[in-house]
Amino acid sequence: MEALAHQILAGLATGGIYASLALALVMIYQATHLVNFAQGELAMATTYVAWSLIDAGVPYWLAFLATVAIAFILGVLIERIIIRPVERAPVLAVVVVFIALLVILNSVTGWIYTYTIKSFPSPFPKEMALGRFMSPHELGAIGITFVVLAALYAFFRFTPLGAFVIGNELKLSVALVLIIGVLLVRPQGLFGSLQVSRV
Amino acid sequence: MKRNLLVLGILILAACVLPFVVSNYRTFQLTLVLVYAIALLGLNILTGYNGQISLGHGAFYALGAYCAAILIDKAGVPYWATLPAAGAACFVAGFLFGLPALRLEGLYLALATFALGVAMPQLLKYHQLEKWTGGVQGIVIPKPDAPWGLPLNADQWLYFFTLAVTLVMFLLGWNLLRGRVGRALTAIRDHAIAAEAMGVDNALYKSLAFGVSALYTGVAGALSAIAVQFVAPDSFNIFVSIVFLVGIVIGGLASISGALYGALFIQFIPNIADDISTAAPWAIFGVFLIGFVYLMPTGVAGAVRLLLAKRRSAP
Amino acid sequence: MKRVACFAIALAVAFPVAAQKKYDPGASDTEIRIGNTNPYSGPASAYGTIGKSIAAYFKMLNEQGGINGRKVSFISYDDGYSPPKTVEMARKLVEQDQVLFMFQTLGTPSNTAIHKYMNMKKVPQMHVATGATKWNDPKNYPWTMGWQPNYQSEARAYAAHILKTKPNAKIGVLYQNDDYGKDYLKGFHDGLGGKKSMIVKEVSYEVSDPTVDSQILQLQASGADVFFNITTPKFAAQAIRKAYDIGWKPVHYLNNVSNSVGSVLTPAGLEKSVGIISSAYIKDATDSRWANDKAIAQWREFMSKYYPEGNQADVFNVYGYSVASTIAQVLRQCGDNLTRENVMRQAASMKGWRPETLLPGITISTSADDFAPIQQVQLERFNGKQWELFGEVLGGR
Repeated sequence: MEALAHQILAGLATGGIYASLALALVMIYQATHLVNFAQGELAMATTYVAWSLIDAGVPYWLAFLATVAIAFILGVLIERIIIRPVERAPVLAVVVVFIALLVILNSVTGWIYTYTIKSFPSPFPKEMALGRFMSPHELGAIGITFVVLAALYAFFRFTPLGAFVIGNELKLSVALVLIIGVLLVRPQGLFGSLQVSRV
Repeated sequence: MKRNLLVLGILILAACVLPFVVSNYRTFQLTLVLVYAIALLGLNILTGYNGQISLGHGAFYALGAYCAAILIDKAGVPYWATLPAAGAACFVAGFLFGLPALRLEGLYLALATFALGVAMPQLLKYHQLEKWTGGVQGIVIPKPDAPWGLPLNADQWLYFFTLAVTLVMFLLGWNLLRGRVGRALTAIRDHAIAAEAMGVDNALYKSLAFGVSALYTGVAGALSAIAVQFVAPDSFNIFVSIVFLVGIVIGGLASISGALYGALFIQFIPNIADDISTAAPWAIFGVFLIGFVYLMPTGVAGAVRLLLAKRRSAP
Repeated sequence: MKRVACFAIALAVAFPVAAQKKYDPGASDTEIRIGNTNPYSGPASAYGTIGKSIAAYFKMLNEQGGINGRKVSFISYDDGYSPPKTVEMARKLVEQDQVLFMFQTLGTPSNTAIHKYMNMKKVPQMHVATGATKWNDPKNYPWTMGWQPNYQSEARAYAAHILKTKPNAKIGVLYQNDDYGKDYLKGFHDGLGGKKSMIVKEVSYEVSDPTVDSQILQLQASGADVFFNITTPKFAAQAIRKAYDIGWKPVHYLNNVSNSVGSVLTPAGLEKSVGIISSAYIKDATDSRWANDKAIAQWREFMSKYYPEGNQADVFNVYGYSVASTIAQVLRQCGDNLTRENVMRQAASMKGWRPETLLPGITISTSADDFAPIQQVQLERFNGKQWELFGEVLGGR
């Protein structure tokens, strides 16, 4: 019984991370009807950026915010430079471009950071909460997922910009959506040991 | 028409001369190009001509390869007889997969086929089947020697054997696609409802497309097993399926020659990328991919078509 | 007539001298070409540093004049720990790059894939970087030879230790679902013999899995208080970390292929690795016992000069240095007879020679029916800062 409880809670935590990734993917799909095959690699690349900042001594939450900002810019750049030119091409061609992005990100990150295992600190306290069932880290991961969900909901429901994005499937919304997508993805990304693995 | 035949003849002649002027290793690579061409033609029939996206064709490739390997290793079947067996098995598998896939469209079909592609290595490692599949270690197959005492080494013989099979498969495919079946397939792709209204049995043709496509890919898989002399579950991961998709897009969707261009791309561009940069070869490959898509969004075959059309119309 | 006679005499004199130099493809008066595949990327990329340290060693040798006046060209390709890629690269090395032999190809599944090919082509598959027991089979595979102690005997050593120190233990095993994992498992079963029922849970994982968290949870739930961890570096680090995080504190036996302080224990967390037991046959530079050791000092100099970006806390780099020095010795013994057959013969006649970076008491020994150069190990325990060797050198002739 204990094992089941453990597995369920661990599953919830990991699931939270996947949920945020999926949320980002869905947002991009809703606006552009394109599946972003490179979503996972974007998450990985931005996580490495965060690792670099933390390794250089930047405190955790500051690095978090900085990475989010960098992800924002990365998203805009990707949308403008890589996706825009192939908008008119057949759908499968765009799929290939995303796959190319996946491969490039994977390879370049591996080249810059080498493929060795790196340690990534957890911002959450080390002592166990909820008895022995969940580490504070796992709780934190689920918590962040909910916060992000709530924030997004509020953004789309209550702000004029959000309404604009939903109401108009304009090219502009694509940019915004992509960057928000990357934004969401990064905080959740891969707390714990990091390693780039070849696709 | 005559000009096309002339070009084709020259190409075949060139193909026959190649193994005598290049190294054995190159011949091996060219054999793989032919194998990929058959697989890509199969995928093209399904995705290019019939509009059904498949992200799991690596599974049929694996099925064909393992059919050949198990037959050769466990049943002592001669290598050439494994091809029809692999083809038949994959046709049935493809058709059966195509039936429930009828309900799925676009992204959802892609997901379902993706699931098949991802599951394949695990299925092959399943320990109840280990007696047959050799489990994780896979199966090693001996290379066939040239028959009838021909003065060819094993690599050259295999190349010619594959060339012959490729020509036959391409001929059959070309015949299929330019006839009634081909028109029915493209009609379903362009406007399924109109096709149904015109009397095309959508369900039958869609499933058939899956079956035929799987057959081609299965035969390619069997040939690859014989050429590489080794099958293992991890050889057939999801990346194989993705590379196939990349191949047909780069080569040219809905095009027979596209299969050949795509095969050349997926075999040689990674090697070229490796030569350019050993540090991040896949990044170079990705750049090549993007470049090809930007310059030739309809694939190499599409670009060639455009070029020929321009030449014809220019005085 | 005199001229002909002179010419004939000259020929007769020249011929025996010329006949002493024998070359197979890949060897010449000035060069020895050696081929290698290593996982520089992919799930086992932590091992990529081995290939780099070997390349650095040959660079050092070349600068010092080479081997018997010949420079070593070490051609190494990335196979991403993927057997089909290994097959492709091996074929390229043998058929296109025309190497004299393959050396230290890494990975049990990778080497399995090219095992028959290498023997069919009669090209030596030297000092493979895997400890699977099947490489020691000179009768059926005369062209393949291992180097490191084999997995089964290592696992037997752990089993013996458990039987001695904790005879009522409940054992949980995590293993990689491939040749390498199963080899360790077999040795472990054999070592426990009739007491195999001490194993209460065995779980496997695939190299393609992102984490082994779920497997660790299962092992904890089984009530095991001893944990035999058969994983490659990436998964070993995850397993160590997860076990600590969920508060599971078994007696932890870690396989030798992942006991590097630099590339496994540090990312996992040094404080989380306290108490882990493993085995060693190479001097680990992080062990303060070797602080003044001449061989390690020489190694440090080599690292700073020829491989400065390599991690000196990573025992894999000592491994690469040690195995490279072994093949250098073999090639020296070959002299001018650089045929593949002679390479195998020299490698199979090493008695008592040892690179000084091996633990004291451990020697390399081979013969025509013994293709296992190193057969001894010593157990060690991690104290939070470094490995502490204990007990005596086990195994042996």
